[in-house]
Amino acid sequence: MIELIKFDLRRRFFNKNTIIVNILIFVMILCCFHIDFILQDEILIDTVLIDTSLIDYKELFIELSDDELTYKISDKENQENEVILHLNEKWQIITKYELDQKTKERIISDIKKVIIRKYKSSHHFLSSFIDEFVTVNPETVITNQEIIDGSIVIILAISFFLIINYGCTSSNEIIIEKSNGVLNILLTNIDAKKHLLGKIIVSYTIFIVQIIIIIFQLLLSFLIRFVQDRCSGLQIFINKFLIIATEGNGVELNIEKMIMLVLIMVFNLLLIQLIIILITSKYTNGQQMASFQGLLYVGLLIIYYLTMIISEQLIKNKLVKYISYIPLFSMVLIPQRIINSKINILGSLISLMLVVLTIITLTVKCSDKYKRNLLIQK
Amino acid sequence: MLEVINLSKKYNEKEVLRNISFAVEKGTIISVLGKNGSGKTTLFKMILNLLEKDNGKVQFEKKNIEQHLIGYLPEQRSLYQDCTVYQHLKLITGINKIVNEDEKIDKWLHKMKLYEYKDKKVYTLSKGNQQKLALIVCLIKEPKIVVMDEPFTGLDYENIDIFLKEIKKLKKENKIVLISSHIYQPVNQICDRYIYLEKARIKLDIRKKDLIKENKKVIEINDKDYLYDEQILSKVSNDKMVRYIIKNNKAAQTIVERLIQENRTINYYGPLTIEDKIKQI
Repeated sequence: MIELIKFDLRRRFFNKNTIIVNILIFVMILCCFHIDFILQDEILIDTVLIDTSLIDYKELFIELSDDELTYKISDKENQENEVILHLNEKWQIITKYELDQKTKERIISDIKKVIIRKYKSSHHFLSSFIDEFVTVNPETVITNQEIIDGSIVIILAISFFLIINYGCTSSNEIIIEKSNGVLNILLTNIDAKKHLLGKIIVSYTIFIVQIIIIIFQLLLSFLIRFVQDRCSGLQIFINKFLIIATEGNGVELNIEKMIMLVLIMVFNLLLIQLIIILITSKYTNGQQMASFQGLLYVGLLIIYYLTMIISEQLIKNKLVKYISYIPLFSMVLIPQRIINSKINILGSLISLMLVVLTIITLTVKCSDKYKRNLLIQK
Repeated sequence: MLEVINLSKKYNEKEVLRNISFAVEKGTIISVLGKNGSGKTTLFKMILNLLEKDNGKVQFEKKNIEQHLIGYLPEQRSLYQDCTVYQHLKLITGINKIVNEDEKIDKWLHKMKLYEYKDKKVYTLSKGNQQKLALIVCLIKEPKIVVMDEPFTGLDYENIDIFLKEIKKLKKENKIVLISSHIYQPVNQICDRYIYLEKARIKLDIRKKDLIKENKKVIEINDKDYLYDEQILSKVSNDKMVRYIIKNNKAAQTIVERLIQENRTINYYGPLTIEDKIKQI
């Protein structure tokens, strides 16, 4: 079985297509790390710079805002003009929409007033020099919420399709082996149960190895960007995202919760993969597999988006609570409950154990059926 | 000894094999013959445990057959086209935990004249070379039972000779070889026994030496309905030729002499072949 796994892994990773795909992924990641360069034509930066030698930013910032890190100014006349003041290496004003000159001047004036107020007693001479210490950069940051929302939806959808795709990898491989007759050779050399296990392990290893490759690519891209400008440009860009992403979001995730969330998703994906393999093992050609895959994509997407829009109220529902422990449902419902702090670690563990037990039972009980299915040929 | 006991198989109510039974001793090459759809491949797959049996069993030395005992050369060239020759063989040797695998791979590649293609992808090989690779895949684990489904398809004479040499070697090594082939000539050279399948049953099960012992002769000429002799047991004809099966050697010689005197062209004169025997059925 180990030989079969090694062989499949070599075939999967040491071929032209995989190498090209990974190069493309690396280019994409590199582009993401240089997104501020790529989108610079669309983003105007409006920053208020204050001389760092004069003031303690943090103190000043706390005075400016109720929030520790951000300060929001909303245009009362026009709700669109929301301004977020963020503490970075320098004061930076990030706006969701382009500011008119009047608003810009008002914000700068506000900042100046706070500085003067703060340091009136100790630095009473400051007011006469304030203009020298507080300068305005003529660029404007405009974060287009639609682009951000769109990007998030695209990233989520791509991730989900990738996951389903990896789930179908082994099934496709089995059908190819079936149609070119290699399966006959393999099954005269290896037991069907070992073949099944080998295929599951292979597709899962591929998934994990691909993630490791992507992490490596991320690190390399980060290193390249770090050598360029110590990521300062990117930092500004990321900060902008963080401010908006965390705005009004009270999600608290600690390490245990995160690990549990990942484990539940990973084992449920393993279960999905096992079910796909068992169902599709009786197919004899790619067309049958493609039809099944199409249905699977639609079905899983419906489940996915339904769960995405599940309200907190529904999460509190007792029926949903019980359903969330059922394997497959737990993949989407338990993470929701973890995020909303509606389940403790023990509950998550029970859910995880149920998934693992289902996987073991299916593997043991269905391996004979799998062999029968494998032997169905044209 | 390999024993096939009462094997039966139906595909959607269509009976493919009914109560097939035979036993094969070690060191025997057995040729399984039959028309297309007669159940040869089904029989092989049931022996290989690649197909569920509706009824019956297959045993080797009174035990169920284990995978490591069987080598299979399928009709279809069943190879990973995107892999190199070496990767392919490495997989098989690895699965079967063969010791000194690289040494064995090299030895087989040299023997099959494929060494120069060791690092080439399978799809770049000719059909003949792919078939030779499939033979190595079948034999490298040194199985005790070898099942070959149409092994000579797509091979030139030189490669057929290589295959025949290997099959003869298997016989010497006391192994059991089951072959199905539409190309009778090479099979006739090596096999010890014929099994002919028709309408889901064994219609003929005869040893080659018994066929020879029958001492019947065959004469093939071009002129249809030309000959008449009371020594002629039967004839098979088509638009171009006619084959006569003659009772014995002496009678055949007399007929041949007559034909020579009459200046007739004799296409074939020789012992009764398995094809003639089947046609007689």
